[in-house]
Amino acid sequence: MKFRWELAVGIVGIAALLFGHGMGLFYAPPERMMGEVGRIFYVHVPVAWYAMLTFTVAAVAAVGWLTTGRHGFDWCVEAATEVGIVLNALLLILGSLWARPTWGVWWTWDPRLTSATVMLLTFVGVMLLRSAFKDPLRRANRTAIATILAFVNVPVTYMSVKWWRSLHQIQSTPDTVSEPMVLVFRINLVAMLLVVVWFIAHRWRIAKTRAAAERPPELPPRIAETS
Amino acid sequence: MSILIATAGSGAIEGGMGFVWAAYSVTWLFFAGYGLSLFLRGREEA
Repeated sequence: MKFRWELAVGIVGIAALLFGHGMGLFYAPPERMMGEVGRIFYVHVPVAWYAMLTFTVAAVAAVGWLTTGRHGFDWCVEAATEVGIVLNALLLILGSLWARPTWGVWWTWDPRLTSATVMLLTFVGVMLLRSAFKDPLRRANRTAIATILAFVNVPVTYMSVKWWRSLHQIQSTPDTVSEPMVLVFRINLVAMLLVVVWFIAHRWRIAKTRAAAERPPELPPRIAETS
Repeated sequence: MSILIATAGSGAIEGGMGFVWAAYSVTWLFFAGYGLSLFLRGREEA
């Protein structure tokens, strides 16, 4: 079995995430107004950041594919989009678990929640579109264009809490939280980033292996000459 | 006054650790599930 760098990143990330979540559950102080429920912050916000970041990576890779035609970019689109979908789905569930005790409802059609749902559905659409094409070149081109179109909603989702009147609080960063929360927040951000990098890298290799299996076998030199 | 405070509350949310545990658990469930799917698909493709 070959040792891959991403596996090392993943192992460190999982260990760091265990530590970070332990700190979020037992070390961090209760939030002033939300009390214990405020501990959801340490999972919800990193997941939100990386859902949007992975979709951004997918969009950049889509531009990379369209401009260079290098297959690595296409595999990156596939990998980052899939990981982003997982994070986006998790984000909505975590948001719902946080909304119930703080807003009194599991769900409301608030601008942030709505745009995050649209973000999930559009990227699921990208993956469905991708699975509809057998020809690798057409599939890569169509996926890249769809990814760029779907990406338009990512900055809208990010800015929705400022552009519209929203129940959701404004974007959280280490600058917007109180001092005792910053360290725990930063640890969870770094830990989750490592896990996400592992996921994307591992998924990228799967896409690469599948692409290699799709290629027609090379003809022996003599047959290639006469054909 | 104390009765008034007790009635109105402090405005802060009390309790709710069940939601917190649910949030952390679902995060690990998602990560474990997706990690396992990657592992299985990686083995299949190899």
